[in-house]
Amino acid sequence: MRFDYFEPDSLDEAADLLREGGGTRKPLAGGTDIVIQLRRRAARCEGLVNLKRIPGLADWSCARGDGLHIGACTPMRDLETAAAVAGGYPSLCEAIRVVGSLQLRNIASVGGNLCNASPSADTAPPLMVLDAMASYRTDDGAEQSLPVEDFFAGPGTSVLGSAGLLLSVDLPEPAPHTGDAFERFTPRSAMDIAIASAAASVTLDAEGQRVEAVRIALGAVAPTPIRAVRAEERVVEKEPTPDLLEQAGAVAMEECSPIDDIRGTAAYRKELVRILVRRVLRRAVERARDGGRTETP
Amino acid sequence: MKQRYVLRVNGRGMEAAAEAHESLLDVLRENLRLTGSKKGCNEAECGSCTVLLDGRPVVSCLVLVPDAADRDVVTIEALATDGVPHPIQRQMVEQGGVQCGYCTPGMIMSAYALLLDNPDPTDDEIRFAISGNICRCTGYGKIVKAVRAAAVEMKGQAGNGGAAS
Repeated sequence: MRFDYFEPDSLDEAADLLREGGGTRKPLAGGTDIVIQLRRRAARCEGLVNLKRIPGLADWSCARGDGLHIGACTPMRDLETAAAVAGGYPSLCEAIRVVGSLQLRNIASVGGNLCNASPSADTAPPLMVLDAMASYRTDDGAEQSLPVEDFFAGPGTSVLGSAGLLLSVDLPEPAPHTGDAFERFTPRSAMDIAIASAAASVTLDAEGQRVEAVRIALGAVAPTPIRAVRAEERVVEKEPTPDLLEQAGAVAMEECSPIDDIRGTAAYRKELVRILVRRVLRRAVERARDGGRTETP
Repeated sequence: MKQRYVLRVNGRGMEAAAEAHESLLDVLRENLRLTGSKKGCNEAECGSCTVLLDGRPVVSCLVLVPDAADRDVVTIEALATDGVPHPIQRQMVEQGGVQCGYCTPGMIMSAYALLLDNPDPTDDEIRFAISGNICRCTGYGKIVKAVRAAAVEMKGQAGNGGAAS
């Protein structure tokens, strides 16, 4: 596993280094995916461009009125341990908490989780339901942003070109009477990869009786993390009864396109989607009625 | 091509000639002869290589050595003082939290990081803190007990004006 190693201290320099490599160099944030892939020889690259010493790229902030700003290299554990993140964006916290181990999350970044573009990336479904925007640099140096749900192009690929760089992920402050939740299914409670995952965000009216807005996203059941739009349509502008949430799960299972693999069959994954969607909707509704706060510290 | 890296390990500046693709774990073990940190899976699954980097527990198998340069590294070798084991180390022995011992240094470093942050953890907090450290011998119960006993012992020491670490 030999490669050249670069430590640029500006975005321009990082982009130049990637461009000079002509597709043979990759950006390095936490390295928890790429280093393992290189060791297993599952990925090839001639050089790693470490982004962590570029000023600002590992900064994050969460202030009332401003939403949550996550620099691409922010270690997941920084967000997991922040009361403002747990309180305002519980689904994101729940997803981060199941990624690898605590010792891994002190290294692994949210940006890396997205750029690795695994269909099972745990932080993708919550970011999608939380309306997160991804800001990035294109190959020719222009800055652009797009919703996280449009960031993925397929298993292991994103909209980023070979010299492109993800800069940050920005989440708006949740609307009043909004709750969100994430769940994934794995046979083990720690150190595993999702067989299927789901996240939901629900905004209720002031009386807590009617769904005004809803977003549902699924992980590990399609070539990329996906929105379950038809399941959302089933729920929106209705009273979130247990029966309706059950129906939403049944719709969502028909919206995904999972594969058979070592972790589970396609049919098993669909059945998991049905149940996970029902559960995350129920918990999101409870949190919306509870003022949008999480019950876990 | 080998380069010289300056690391701060256990409070001492150390130099190592290594290639950029080598891990902090390999450099600790092979160059600096600090073999307390273990190489189990080398893929961030087992936690036996856990060290503190700038005060936070990390799997040193995935940290590339240039990424550790000029940062503070604390390994299991730093825990005993003048040959006297740290309370976590002693309690792991007394409570039977050690069998083959391979997970033990990483397990202790995770527990050490927890107690630095939270001197009075619940059993659930202890279990969460060591959930990235795999033990295939003891079944974890005695390890949790050892961490709990160490927390009590350290609080007692702190209360008596003694050094807690």
